[in-house]
This record gives sequence, C-alpha cells and structure tokens, in this order.
Amino acid sequence: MANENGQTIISADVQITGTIKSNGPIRIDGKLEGDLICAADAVIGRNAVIKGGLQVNSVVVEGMIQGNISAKDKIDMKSTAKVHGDIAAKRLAVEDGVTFIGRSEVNPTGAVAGAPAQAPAASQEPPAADNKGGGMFGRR
Amino acid sequence: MPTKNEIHCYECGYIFQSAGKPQTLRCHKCKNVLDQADYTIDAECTDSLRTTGNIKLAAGAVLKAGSLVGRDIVIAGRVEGGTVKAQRRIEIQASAVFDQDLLSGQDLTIGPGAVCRFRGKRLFRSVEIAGELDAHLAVSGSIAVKAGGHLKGRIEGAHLTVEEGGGLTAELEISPASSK
Repeated sequence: MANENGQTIISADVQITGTIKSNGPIRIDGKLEGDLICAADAVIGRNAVIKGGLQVNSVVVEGMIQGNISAKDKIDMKSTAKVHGDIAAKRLAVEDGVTFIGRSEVNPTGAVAGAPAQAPAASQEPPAADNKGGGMFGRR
Repeated sequence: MPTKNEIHCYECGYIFQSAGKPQTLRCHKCKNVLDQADYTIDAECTDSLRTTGNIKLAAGAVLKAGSLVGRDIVIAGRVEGGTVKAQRRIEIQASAVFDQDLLSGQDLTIGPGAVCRFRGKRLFRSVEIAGELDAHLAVSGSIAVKAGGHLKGRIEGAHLTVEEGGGLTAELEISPASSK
C-alpha cells in the first residue's frame, strides 16, 4: 500500500518474512524478519520490529532493529529507537533515550585524526626561560 | 534572589548549597574556611591551589608541580607535573597538553579543536565532546557529541545524544534502562 506521496507503508498489523526491496520511500510499522533494501528513505515506526539488516539512503528509526544498518546518507535515531547491531552512515543524529548496542562508523568529516594532546612531547618547545619562581595566580 | 551554588568542601568532601559568592565561606560540616575565588594561572606554576571556585590554566601556562583543586577546571596550558582535581567539571581546550593520569573530575568536556586520547577505562558522570576523544569510557549520566565533535573507542553509558555533524566511531553499549 502506498500513500499519496508514493511512500510504501507496511502497517502495524502486517508481518513479513523475507527481503523487501524498494526503489521508493518506505515506512514500516509492522514486523519484518528479513532484510530491507531501499534506494530511497525509510522510516521504521515506533511499533516496528525488524530482525534483519537495512541498506537504505537515509533512515529514521523509532522502533526496534536487530541487525546492521548501512545508510548512504543519514541515520536518525529517535528517542524510542532500540538498535542491536552495527551502523554505518555519512551522517548521524541520536536523541536521548535511544538504546544502542553495537558498533558505529560515522565520520562526517572523513578527516584523518590529529595527534593526541596529552603528555608533553620531546619535540615540543621548552617553557620560557624566565622562571617566575612559583607561578602567578590571577584572581578574578 | 541570589543564586545558590553547589559547594564541594576540599577539606572534608562535604557538598552543600550556598547563596551568593563571598570571597570565603565556612564549610557547614567541618567549619573550615574555604576560598571561593576564581583563579587564572597564566605562567609557570609549582604551587598548590585549592578553591571552591573555578580555575583556568591558560594557554601558555605550565603546571610543573603542586596540586590544583577547584570546582570547574579549564586546561588550556601544559600539565607537566602535579595533579589537577576538579570537584565537578574538567574541560580540555585545544591548546592543552597533559598526561591523563594527572587529571580527574566528575564531568569531562572536550572543547572544539581539542584532540585527546585516554589510556584504560575512565569513569565519568557526564561527557561532552566538541573536539575529538578516543577513549574507553563508562558514563553514568549523559554522553553528548556536539556538531564537529568526534567520539572514538569504546563507550558504555545510559544516555547518548549526537548532534547532526557529530562523528561516532566506536563500540557502544547505550542502555537507558541501566541507569534506573
């Protein structure tokens, strides 16, 4: 069933066993035992339960997913989301209240990490020669 | 109405509320006189400093010895020796250089541009990341990754929020039910 926006809707009273493939947006409110492969955006409703992996463009998660999520663009986990599995995406947003057990690979910048700040390094410049003998506490 | 501040006595550890911010006040439990002033350290320091106010180790400043004890402590300089103990929050800014074993606090803030890596498992009440942090954390309260921030490593906690633009490359165990 599709709504007027062309979004396929799997209602709350529907249970599917198998793989769902969709070129258009999809909303799942029911139960899916299998994978979801969606070239567009997906919404996993509050009462939805998915036991399988997701490959989507973007996904809004409000329900339960036991499986890995791979999104080309964004994963948006709302406060009622429960995810047990690994996630990978370009962008991520997580609301307070989410249950998430798994690994995340989200790096919006894609930049290589810089050197850590701790521990004085031998290569760093030595402190100033004028030792003020005890430091200065500036009182505000 | 004057604001009420939470005071951590650095003598006996008692925590109490106090209105206003006089220069000194007495602990409600041990009756010791406590310093309430805020301090900025902007040079080399080998002395100890204890206050119920805030301390900032400015960029360019160096803590070589002694201990810093304050409510909120901002590290923008170098910590080469001594110890830094924040009764509430410790904030690491981009210019900070430190050995993690010398710092302690209940809450941790990684400022924009700061890049930090912690060895071993660290416990915090809350963590806020606007820079980059690579650590094994156990957080009893909230973990917040701000836009531009990046959290790596292994994270165990009750509450996680990630703003759009925040990075998360970690093993996670986030379960709000575990905080009840």
